[in-house]
Amino acid sequence: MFNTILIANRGEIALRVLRTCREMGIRAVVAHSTADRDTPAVRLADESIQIGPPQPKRSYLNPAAIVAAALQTGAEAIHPGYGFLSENPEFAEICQAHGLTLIGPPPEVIARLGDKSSARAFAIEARLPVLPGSSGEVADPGEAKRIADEAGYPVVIKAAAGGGGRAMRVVRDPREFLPAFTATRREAVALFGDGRVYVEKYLDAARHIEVQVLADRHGDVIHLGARDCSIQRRRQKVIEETPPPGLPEKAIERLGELAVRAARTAGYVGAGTFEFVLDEDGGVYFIEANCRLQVEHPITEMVTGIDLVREQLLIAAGRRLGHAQPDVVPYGVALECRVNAEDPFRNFVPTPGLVTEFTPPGGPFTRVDTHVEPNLRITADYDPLLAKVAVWAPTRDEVLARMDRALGEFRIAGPGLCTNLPFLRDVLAHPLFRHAKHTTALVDQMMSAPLP
Amino acid sequence: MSQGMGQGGMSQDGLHGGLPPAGARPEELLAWIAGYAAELNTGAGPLRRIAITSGATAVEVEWATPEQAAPAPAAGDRAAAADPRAWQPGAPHPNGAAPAPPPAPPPAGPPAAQQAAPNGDTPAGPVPDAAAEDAVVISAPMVGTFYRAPEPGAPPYVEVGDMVEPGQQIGIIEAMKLMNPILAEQAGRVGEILVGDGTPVEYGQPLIVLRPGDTQ
Repeated sequence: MFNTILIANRGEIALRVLRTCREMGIRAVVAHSTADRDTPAVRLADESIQIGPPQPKRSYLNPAAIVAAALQTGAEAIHPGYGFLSENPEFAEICQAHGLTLIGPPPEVIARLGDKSSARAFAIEARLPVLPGSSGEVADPGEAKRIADEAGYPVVIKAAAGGGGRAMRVVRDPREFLPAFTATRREAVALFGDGRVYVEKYLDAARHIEVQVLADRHGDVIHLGARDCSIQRRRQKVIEETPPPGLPEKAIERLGELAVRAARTAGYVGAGTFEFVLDEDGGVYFIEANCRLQVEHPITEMVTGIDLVREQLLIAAGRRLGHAQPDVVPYGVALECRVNAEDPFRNFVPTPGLVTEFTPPGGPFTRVDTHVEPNLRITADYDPLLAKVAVWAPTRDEVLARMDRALGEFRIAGPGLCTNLPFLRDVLAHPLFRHAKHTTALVDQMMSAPLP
Repeated sequence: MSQGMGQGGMSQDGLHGGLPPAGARPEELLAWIAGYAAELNTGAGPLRRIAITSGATAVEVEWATPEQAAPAPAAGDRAAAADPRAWQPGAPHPNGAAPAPPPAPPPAGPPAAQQAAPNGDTPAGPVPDAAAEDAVVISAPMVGTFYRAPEPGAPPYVEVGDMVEPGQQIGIIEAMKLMNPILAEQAGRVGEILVGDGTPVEYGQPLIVLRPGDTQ
């Protein structure tokens, strides 16, 4: 096992990883920017090292700073958290070249699955069901148009290097395809320095389901069940639930098998997810893989009793999986809400500012992952996530009541600060959500026709 | 102590007669520091906080003035962080383990004692006061290893007392085998060299104190 791990991330996830390190007796070094020097992760760390100014490009996204920090603090491994460099194959290679273990899959697996167009090509090769569309990237506008016509509208044009809902366009009218194609390519170059795009059929109303997998270096792969991530705003998840409500156990089992097969085919190592969309007719399509720990991992931890960060570290250290598939028996229902500093009534724009009051909820089976405390300034340099509230209960009805109770207790205030807490409670109360009939379209439906 | 509140480290050439015994055990070091603090504590308020870092030997001592029993101003935290002598190489973050209230900004007068340079690299003789109004601190623009000379055995780029021109190289920071030159942005005299040759540095860590006004 490692003696020292460098945590190359910030916010709640830095704290999350740090806590498991401490429980395992591993020394944790927190790499931080100047903006994060007064945060709990830095205070709780066994050692901290300042790696750069607030701008991510010069700190959390700077491979040289992170590798130098790891080497000079004697870290043997780097935990990248999520976002930032967590799915960057070049960074994974640099770590390897410097004798550092990056906690995650090998560089070539990240390169193949992290890039959305090559992931699509991989899925076709691995015989995973994919939405109609191009078999990989498509450069010629005429060919792209033919593919779109064949798939049937609406279609979506997405950047291969994209993520977080950026550089993607939904096209409903064939006449709008060519201008949209050109615009998406231009945007992809501007945002990611990479103009490759691909085309696939777009589902207006779909369920977004992902499967959590664990794979060791010895070829063993298991899945830890599925999560429903259909509640999204601006194509980013806000509420996640496991098991996916209203989905037959058989369907979840089938998704699990598909994900395990995909992970085996890819030579996956570590914790990761394979994401699928389900259409109204029960059709299942692979959309992408995430080569990292996910924001919503706590709900899987709550129903399985498995600490995913601990598993990541054991796998990275070369251990065999401690669980066989039959040992994984999820129990009960868990729900997570992402509490963001944002204004739901102004298209969810972030509202940075000083937090003056911060009292998270407590109570039975209620977990709050947060880095926020009174007098912390939420800056525009990073994402507006304030806290993740996760609750567990034996049944879905109880879990919904528990989450509403927990969100109702949450006190967050500060000048200019706005949170999505009331909005989250509105979603919980929405009939479509209560009856598990919601799709990825729910938030848009709510915003265009708010409840009386 | 003439000023109400003192804060700083100590060096070989500080006010005190000598260093603690080499290789001193923690309790010996503590006894020595307690004695040293008592010696300095003439006329000032009660001792308020001592922070010790062994590794690179940095000591911070803080006194409260009789009229200053109340907590130090909150702004002091940031001020201390910007003060080169508050930096403790290799130590936990200054805002980390220290249970005491944040230290106040350094006084205008001479500080209680000077920071010990890592590796004993500071030359003999009185160490100029970095808190003086005209001091400019050159800080590390990146994480890496600081080198004072172009290669082992070569003369350092600068020594204390040297005049530097704008754009003149004062050291190197090596990160991932890339040698990044560190340049002075303005002219001045080298007042203090805060980091020893071959020392790992963090982003923003003060390296050298420059005195732009001292051109004589």
